[in-house]
Amino acid sequence: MRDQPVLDVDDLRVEFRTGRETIHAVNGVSFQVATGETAAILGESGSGKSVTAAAIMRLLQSPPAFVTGGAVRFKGKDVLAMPIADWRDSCGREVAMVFQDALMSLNPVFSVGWQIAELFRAHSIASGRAADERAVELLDRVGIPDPARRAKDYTHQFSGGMRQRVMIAMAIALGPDLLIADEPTTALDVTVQAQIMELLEGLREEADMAMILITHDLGVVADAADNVAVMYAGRVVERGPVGDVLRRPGHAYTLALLDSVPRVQSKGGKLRPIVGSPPDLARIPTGCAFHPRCRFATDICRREAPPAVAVAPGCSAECHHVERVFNDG
Amino acid sequence: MAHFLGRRALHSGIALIGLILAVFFLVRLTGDPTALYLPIDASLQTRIEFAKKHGFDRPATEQFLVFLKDVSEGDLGYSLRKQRPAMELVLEAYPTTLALAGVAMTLSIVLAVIVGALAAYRPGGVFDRVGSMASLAGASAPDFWVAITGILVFAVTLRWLPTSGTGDLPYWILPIVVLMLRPFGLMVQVVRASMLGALSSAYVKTARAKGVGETAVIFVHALRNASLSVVTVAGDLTVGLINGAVIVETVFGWPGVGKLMIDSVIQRDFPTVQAAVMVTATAIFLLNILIDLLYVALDPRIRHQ
Repeated sequence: MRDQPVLDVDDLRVEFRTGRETIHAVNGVSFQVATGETAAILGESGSGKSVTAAAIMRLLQSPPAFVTGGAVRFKGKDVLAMPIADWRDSCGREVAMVFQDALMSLNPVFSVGWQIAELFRAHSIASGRAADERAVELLDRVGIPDPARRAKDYTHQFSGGMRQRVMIAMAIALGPDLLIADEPTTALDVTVQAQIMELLEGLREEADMAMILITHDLGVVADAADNVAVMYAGRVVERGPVGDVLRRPGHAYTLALLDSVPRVQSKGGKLRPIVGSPPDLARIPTGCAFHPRCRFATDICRREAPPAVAVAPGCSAECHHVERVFNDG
Repeated sequence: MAHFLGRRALHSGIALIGLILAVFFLVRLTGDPTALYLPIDASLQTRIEFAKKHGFDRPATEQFLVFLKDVSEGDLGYSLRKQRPAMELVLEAYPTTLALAGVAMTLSIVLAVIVGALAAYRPGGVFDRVGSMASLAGASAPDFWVAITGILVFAVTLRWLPTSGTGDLPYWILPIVVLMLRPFGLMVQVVRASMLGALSSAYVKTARAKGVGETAVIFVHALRNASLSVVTVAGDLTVGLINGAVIVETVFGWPGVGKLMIDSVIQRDFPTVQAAVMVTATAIFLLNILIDLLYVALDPRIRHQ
């Protein structure tokens, strides 16, 4: 069972069709997550990482969003082909999601206890007082003090960190096999971030869940993930075990990301910001999408899309200049 | 809560006094009722006696003080027209108005919520376009014209429904449909707009990710949030109806407080006008408290302020 991935995303493509233009948000994303593994998807905003997660959960509003290609297999089942009602039945029970902004993602007019208990009711596992009691237990499990009283409170009565704990309680309520965490700590301040990541990691380990961690935070990736997929302009441009990728990246974009954040063990000590801005997804540059911002770029980068090149065992990068990048980094 | 209700009652009491002042003096600007109630050849002596009996011979300010004294004793005077206590007339007419308003508003709210929610579920879809057109037509149709056309078609030509008055079900159909047009039309637009916002919100995404069924997503998660703006508009529209739907009640000869008020104004039946205004104002005050309580019940964020 360990060998079969819990989730297998294969060449996923998503576009948004507005009246005037087509936005190519996800352009052939592939990755796998195995039981007990934390896979990080790393990228700037607009790189397509959250759209990928929404497509997996089938939460995209269509129109304007359309999945135009690829497959998502969850425990062997074709997610995108099954009737939506069947997939919704798996949602919450087998796959759960933690969203970025818990204040917006929790319903303001229902108590948090009600919202957690709703999972048991929606999946016909428990109802009434039994469901409420399970909700209190979950609040206790995610470290909310005085859970019986707090279950009756509403979102606006919680602090940011506590709200995210509530979201996590909902996500783990039915013991899912896969947890998708979409920027779970982005809206929080730094000390709380660490606590939330610790909680998530602990719960993941305890239940031997698989976790997809979507983030733009290199530190979070380095601390919590086993494998990482770096996304740029809707493609996974580099993938591999976290240690290898972050230590010696093979893609110019990954290297640029690493150079743009301060690190304790940095070599030169000088930060190098990435020039320019992320590409307009309606007009993605030809060849390698990163070439207008890349200091390694040559003619071939402008003409041809780079193939995936093996960098190290288990690591690959879609870059024409893997060797130069690898030796520079 | 008691503090809140007390403050609300105080504000409403002040407003009510202002309203009574305005009505009392404005209604006296319409002219002398003596001319309307006595035969054209009535002697001067009779005219003076009539004015004296009803106190119209005294200055308006003095009349007002007498009126205040009577009101404090629970006496709102006698109707000039019907020779019965004015309050009795008003309380007789008011239940018919309330019944009509209640049925029309309940139906409007229920239908508007269903139509608006389904329209918002697939914006731009066939149902949305038809629903939006229908609601726009309803909100903008002039009620007196629809009422008269309705009588012409369904009562006079087809002879399916009675032309006017009140009684069993057939009497209710036309007035209710005409009364519903505007509230239904406006509320469909409000429900649609607020449901569009609610359905694209992050908490609806969360509900779907939890595996909550679509019906519950629409009618529990989204609607409960959208209901706040619906309550605001519905409350406002209800005020318009419990005030006495003057036009509809007049066209359909519906014996409600709206018709009573307009008849009393035309015939300078001052005590009845005053009593009707006081009763409707009190009803609106109570309705507003009800709306406030509904807000508190629906939105925990207000509760904790």
